[in-house]
This record gives sequence, C-alpha cells and structure tokens, in this order.
Amino acid sequence: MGKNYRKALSLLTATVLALSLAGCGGGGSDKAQKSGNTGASGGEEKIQLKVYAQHFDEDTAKPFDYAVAELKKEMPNVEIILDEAVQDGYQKLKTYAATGNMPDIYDTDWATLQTFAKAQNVEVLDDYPETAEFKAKLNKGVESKLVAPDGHVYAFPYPGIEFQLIYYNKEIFEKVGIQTPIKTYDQMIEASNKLSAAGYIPMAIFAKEKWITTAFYAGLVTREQGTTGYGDLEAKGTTAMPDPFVRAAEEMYKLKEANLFDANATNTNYDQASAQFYSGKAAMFVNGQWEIYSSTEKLGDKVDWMYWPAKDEAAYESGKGFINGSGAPGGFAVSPSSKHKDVAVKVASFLAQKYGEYKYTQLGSPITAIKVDKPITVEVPPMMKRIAEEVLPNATQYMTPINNVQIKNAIDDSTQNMLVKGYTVQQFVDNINRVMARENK
Amino acid sequence: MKQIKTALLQLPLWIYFVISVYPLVWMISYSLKNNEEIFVTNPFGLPTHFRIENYIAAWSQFNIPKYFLNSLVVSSISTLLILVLSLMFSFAIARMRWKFRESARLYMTVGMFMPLQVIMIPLAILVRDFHLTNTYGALIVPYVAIGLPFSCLVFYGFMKGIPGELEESACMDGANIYRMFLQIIVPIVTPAIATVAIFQFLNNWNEFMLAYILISDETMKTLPLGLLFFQGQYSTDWGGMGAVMTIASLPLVIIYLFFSEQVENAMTVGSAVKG
Amino acid sequence: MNRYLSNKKAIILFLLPALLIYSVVIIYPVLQTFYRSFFNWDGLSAATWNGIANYLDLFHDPLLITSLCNGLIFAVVLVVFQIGLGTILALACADPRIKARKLLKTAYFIPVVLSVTVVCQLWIAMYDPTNGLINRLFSLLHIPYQQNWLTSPTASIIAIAFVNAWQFMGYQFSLLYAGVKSIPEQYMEAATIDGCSKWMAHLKVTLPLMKETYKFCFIVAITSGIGAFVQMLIMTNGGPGTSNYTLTFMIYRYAFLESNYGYACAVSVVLVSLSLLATIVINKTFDRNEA
Repeated sequence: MGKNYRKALSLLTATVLALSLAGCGGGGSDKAQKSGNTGASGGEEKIQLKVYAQHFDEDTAKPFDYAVAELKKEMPNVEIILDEAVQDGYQKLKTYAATGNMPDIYDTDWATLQTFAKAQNVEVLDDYPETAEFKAKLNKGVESKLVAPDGHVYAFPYPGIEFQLIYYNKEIFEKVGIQTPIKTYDQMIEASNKLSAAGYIPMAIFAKEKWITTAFYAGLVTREQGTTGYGDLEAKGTTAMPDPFVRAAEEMYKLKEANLFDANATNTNYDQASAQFYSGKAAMFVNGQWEIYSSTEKLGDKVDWMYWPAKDEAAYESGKGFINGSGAPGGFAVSPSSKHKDVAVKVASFLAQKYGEYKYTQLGSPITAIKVDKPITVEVPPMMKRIAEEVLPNATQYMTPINNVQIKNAIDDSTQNMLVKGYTVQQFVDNINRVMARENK
Repeated sequence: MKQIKTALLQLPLWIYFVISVYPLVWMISYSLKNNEEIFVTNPFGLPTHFRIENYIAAWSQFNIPKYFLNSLVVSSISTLLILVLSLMFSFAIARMRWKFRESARLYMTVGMFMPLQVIMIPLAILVRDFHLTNTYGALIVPYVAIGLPFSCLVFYGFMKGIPGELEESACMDGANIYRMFLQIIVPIVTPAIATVAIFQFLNNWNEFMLAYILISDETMKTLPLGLLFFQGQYSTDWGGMGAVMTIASLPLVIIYLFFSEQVENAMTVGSAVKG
Repeated sequence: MNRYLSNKKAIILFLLPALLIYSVVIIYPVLQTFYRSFFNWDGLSAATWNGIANYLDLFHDPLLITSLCNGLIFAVVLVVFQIGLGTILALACADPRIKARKLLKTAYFIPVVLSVTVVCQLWIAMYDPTNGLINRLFSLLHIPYQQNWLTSPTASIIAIAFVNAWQFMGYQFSLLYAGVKSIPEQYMEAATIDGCSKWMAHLKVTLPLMKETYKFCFIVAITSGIGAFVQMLIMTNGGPGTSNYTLTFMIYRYAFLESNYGYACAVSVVLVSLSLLATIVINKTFDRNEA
C-alpha cells in the first residue's frame, strides 16, 4: 500500500511539474504563432469572421439572423461565426482584449470603446470608404452615434437616438378622473395623489436598474431652461451642478414625496414593473420607446404615451422638441488584429445597416441610425406612428451625452437614491458635486 | 410529562428543519411557474398549473446532457485533486516538524481572501499561456487552486487535534511516514474529508463566473451557463431559469441524501480507529 | 520520533504539488495585483506609475467607509448566526436522545446545496414589502412593524447578511458536527461521571477540544463577511445608491464598470490585508485563551 502510494505521489508530482513546464514553454510558442500571421487572404476563398454579438432572445436574434442572411446574398464567400454575447457589462469582451483573443467584429458601447481606443483594441474607421458611405446615409441629428466626441469613428451604429416616454393606462386615468395629458408638475402630483388614494401604484419603474432613474431625471432636466444635457456636467472647471439640474432634482424630490413611486421601487426589476403596469396595478410606466411594442400587445388601445411634464404649460409646449435621449457612439466595431481587416470593416458596416433595415421594415421603428429606403412591411402601432409624425420631425435638440464614467455613475447612484424616502435634494447635489469637483478640475 | 418536555425542546429543531427544506420545495414550484405567478399572483405556494414547458424550453435551448457531463467531469476531477493535494499539504504543516510550517500555513491562507474579480484577467492570461483555453483544464486548474486554501485549513484543524501517541505507536510498529499518513491520519480525518469533498464539489458544480469568462466553446460549457439562455434583452424568463437551476441542483440533493449516509458510516469507522 | 517526522524528502513530496499549482494560479496574480496597485491602469493599455496616489484617493473615498461598515455588519451577523446556531444544532444532532438525527442533519445542509441564485431569488420574494412572507408574518403576529427590507439603506445590509448566514449555516454546522463527533467518547463519559450535566459537560469538555475547528469557523465567517459580494449583486445590485457596497463590490465597480484597474487593485490589497489581519488576530486570541 505504501509503495503504491509513493508511486502515485511521484506520478502526480511529475504531472504537475510537466504541466507547469509545458506552460512556460507555451507562452513563447504562442507569441511565435501570433507574429507568424500569414495573411493568406484574397481571391474568392472562404473568409471566416468571428462576430461577437447579442443573440439570446427574439429581440436580439432576429435582426442578427436577418442581417446574416442578407450578407450571404451579398458576400457569399464570407462565413460568420457567431460568438454569443450576453449582457455582462462587456466583461467577457474585455477579457478577450486582455488575452489578445479579440473577435474580428464586435458589438459594444461607448464606455468600452473608449478603453479599447486607448489600448488600440479597436480599428479607427475614419479613412475607410465604408465610413463615408455610412455617413451619407445617416438620419438627421444622429451624427453623434457615429462620430465620437474626439472626432474619430470607431463603430457602425444601428439604432438611432433612443429616448424614454411616460406610458399611461387611459382606462385607469378615466376611472380616477385625471385629465390627460398631464402637462405640469403640479398636475402630476395631483394625479399621483388621486391614484394612490384609489389604490393604484401611480408610476411603475424598474429602479433596480439605475439607468432608468437617470433617464427619469433626464426627462425633468430637459424641461428646465438653460441646459443642453448631461454633457454640461463634465465641462472643465464646472465643480457644482448648474441650476437647471438642481431645479429638476427638487421636482423629482416633490414627486417622490407625493408617492409617485412604489415603496419597493429600487428593488423592482423590469419583469415586476411591467407586470404591475400590464396587470392594471400601476397607472403609468416609464421606459424607452421600444416598450411601445409590448405595451400595445398587452394593453391594446388602452395605452398611450405622454411628454414629460414641466413647471407650466408654456414650458411644457416649448420643451416638447427637447428629446431626453442622447447619442453616444456604439455598434459594430472591428478589431485591428483581424486577419481580414478590410473585409471585416465592410461586413461591420453591412451588418449595422441591415440591423437598421430590419428594425425599420419589420418593426416599423423610425429610430434607426441610417435612412432606410425599403417600405415598412408590418402594421405600425399608433404610438409609434405618433413618434414618427409628431416627435422626430419636431425634434429641435437631443441631450448632450456624458463621457466621464465616474460622473455618470455618480448620477446613476444619486438618482436611484432619490427614490428612497428621506434622501434629500442636498444629499443628491452634494454627492454629484463631490465627484464633479474631482473629475473636472 | 417528560415526553412532552422533550417534544417541546425538540420543536425548534423541527422548525429549523422546515425552514431548511422549504427552499427546495420552493425552487421546484418556481420552475413550474411563469413570471406573473412568480412575481404577482403566487410567489410562495405550490404551482396551480404545472408549466412543464419551462423544462421543455430548457431542454430545447441547450444540450443539457453535454453540459451535465462537462459539469460532472470538471467538478469530480477538481474535487479529487483538491482532496489529494490538500491532505498531503496539511499533513506536512500540521504533523511534520520543520522550520517554516507556520509561514507555509499563512502563505496558503492568503489565497482564500483574494476576490475572483481581480485575478480574473491574470487568470485568463495564464490559461491562454498554458494552452488550456477551451479544455477541461481551463476550469480544473483554477478550481483546484482556488479550493486548496480552504481545504488545507479545514484538514489542518482536524489533523492538529490528533493525539501524538498514535504516531508514536505507528513509528514503533515500523511503519514509514507515507504508510502512517495513509493508514492512520487519513482514516481519522475521514469525516472532514467527506465534508470538504461535498463542499468543494458543490462549489465547483455551481461556479459561474470563471466558467463564463474562460469557456467559449459550446462543447465545453457547464450547467450554470445554461442560465444565460433565459436572460432576454429586456425581460427574463424566470421560470425557465428555475427549471435550469432545478435540473442542476436536484441531482446534487439526491446524491447528497445518499452520500450523507456514507458520511455517517465513515464517521463511525473513523472513531473506531481512534478508540 | 523527531527524525521520523522531519523527513525532508517526505516534507517536500507532500508540499510540492499543492504549493506549485497554488503559487502559479493564485499567488502570482496576487503579486501582480499588489504591483499594479501603484499604477494608473485601465486594464488594457500601458500603465503609468502612480506611486501611492491610488491609496491616498482610496482613503478619501466615501465608498470605503460604507464598505468597511457593511463588511463589519456582515461579519457580525455571520458569526452570531452561523457559529451560534451551528453549535447548538451540532450538539443537538450529536445527542443520541434526539430522534431522527440523520434526517435533521441532512435537512440542515440542504440550503448549502442550492445555488446562491436560487436562494437569493427566494429571499427577494420573502422580503417583498407587500407580498413578502416576512412582513406578513409580522402582521399575522399583530406586531405593528413593517419594513421595506431591501430598499431601506439601513435595513437592507442586515437583511442580505442574514440570507448569506442562513444559506451557509449548514456548512459551519457540518464542520462543527464533524468536530463534535471526532472527540473520543471517553472524555464525555469522564465528565458526566464527575457529575456535570450534559450541557455543562459540553461547555467544559467538548467546546475547548474543538478549538481548531472554531478557529477555522471564525476565520471563515469573518473573512467571508468582509469580502461578501454575490448576494448584494443579485439582491440589490449594491443599492439603493451605493448603500450596500462592500470592498469586493468596490473592486467590481472600479475594475469592470469604470475600467480603473489600478485603483481596484489598491482596494484588493486593502481587502486581503484586512482579511489576513483578522485571521492573525483570531489565531492569536485563540492561542492566548489556551495559555
């Protein structure tokens, strides 16, 4: 027994040693492999491209499959290998970058692109012919989705500038006796009181996700005069929140104190909040314009959306053209280490365009980055028609985006806190000012 | 009278029994409900309508047998290696006499505190450099390393408590050190081995983070990654997730129920050796 | 005997495999982390030397205070619940007078077998202020106390710590149970012959003999309190605001959400140092009690 054991032990030690030795040797050979990058492309041979894109439910899989099918017609020699991305804050993509294992094409957001740009993990697309072509096809007002604040192009976007709406249940409003649309803060507070008294949750919000509280606050900010958006908070030398932001925070505080939101709001996820609205427990719901599809499906003609309220009717009317959404670059980017870079750029641009085409022709969404010249093939929900006819043509201004991640996170934290009873405007302002003072000096 | 008193004294034990078993029942009910029942109409009760479709969805979304097999291979091999390596290591620091054994113990402890989030990227690079990407080794090697500190410390505690006379008598009997380790020390710590084995196996079986970051190859994925198939862009299919979690956990519970009997037996053997 | 137990070849043979794999996979990244904590680094591009600036910033970071307090609360809840209850249940299950001990013992371990995600989902439902069982239990018992468990900046951390404590109690329990079982019965018999009651005998004989087990249980409970993370991530995502942040949550935020890797490394160094310190203090305290 003892002998056997000793044998096993030495075998084990040998294995572990061998393993680690192989590892040491491995590092070198790996590098050799990488530098020996044989660019045997060209001709009509099959080109394989690895694409890292979201493909996990109907909303993400359908446009991808549509775009890939179209690509097959256009470039039959390109084969797409899908690497399925999930919503993980691009952690896996960053690991790919750190291990030098980047996919040829990947779909990502502005924060990640910024990091990648610094580390040269994203191809600068400025001088590619596809970029000029793409620029020419852009919809009005969405240049900021393509051209980054530093003047470079890093990715081909597919959606236009998305924004948030307040959805409401007409039936409940009628029953409780609230005049629509709600135009002023005071009317909103009154509505909130009436709805709570009647046993409804006035407004469902999935505030477990912080971006939605930031979006709600953004809606209020756009109704105050004298700001162009969150971008104002990262101007060099600005160490205190400008007035319109403070006024918007005061209004948000009043709305919270009027019980506009459920006590459990900051621990409510999307599925719970939408269930509240669709089951008739909540009278209003705040979410992006994409919610139009499910709300039409669930509530039919009982649901409509309204503009954000303002301090008085005049401000309400003049604020209608100020959209509470901002365009930040994002979409399909190309890795500089791709073996077929030129093809990859072409494919990235193609995929982005086909995504937009899908959203327009199959969903009737006018919010796409590029103009689509094909007809809509489906019946467009009336709420979406209102967006196309009422909002987009009259949009005078979009919010300026914020690039500084620290300030952005401070806003996210503080707006979520704003829904908590007892959290004051002063705390809100102090917390954001502290971060601004550090970042903008 | 006395019986009533004992019953009353034992009541809390049974209350805690219910609190411990309920989650199992809850998880299975959860996997048979849809989102509305889970969040609004029936969060705690048994399902009124058995939604088998959650399981069908889970079955059709991904290759459950393959994922299951991968989980089994990775978890078993890792657990086995952890046990062997940490028993040896703890024996050396708990029973053998040399200068730096306290430092060796402290050295081993450090790794217990390191959050995965930080070593993730260096680890991914290591896995690449060792050519382990998309092999079982990509998970087994990190799992073994991560499991070691914890297991070593448990075994250390148990080995430390063994009376020295046992070693002396073994020494007198002329057994060499390896034989003493295998025939005297290991049997005595069997209860601890059983506990550590269960815990490490569970840890590896349920591990998500590393499996997610280090494995991209579909044929190498482990069961917890199946959860990803139910997270939509906006909405999540919680019932479907429940089904995956039930598929992943139920076999463990059943194995444990059988295994705990073995543990009990092992313990009796263990104390017999001691006596 | 001494020569027998200081067999150099055997020591090396026993130590080497574990040391090797552990050093390469864990210690090497740990050292890297320590080194990187002196850099301004986003995790990908070239790092620039930053001296101790990360640490200076860290000590002015309000998140650090929040995280330390939460870690402390977490640790206290874990110690009290897991070790307190774990001891009582372990002694009870080792008592031959209790019926169906095997069944109880198995049941107590079940929460450990379930995945953290399942357990967190269950407790999110339990803590729901209107539909949740906890608030309903209070009103059922006519206690006029209702709490927004997971949205209150103060109550939520305790509520979450409790979930962790409850789930992994079974683990501490089984360690303690194994500890109780490994004590030779003669010791117990001797004590009862001396006229001690069963519980007194435990207090005087069993518990002191289980010193090493307890030492380990304390280390696990306290350090996992300081480093807690997953439960917050799932149950409240650190909120409302940042009220549920812990050191690991800070690391997660700085490394992955803000791409401030160097700073995240500095937080990690603080986390590891604190945990080590706690371990050393626990070791010293237990060893002093012995003397």
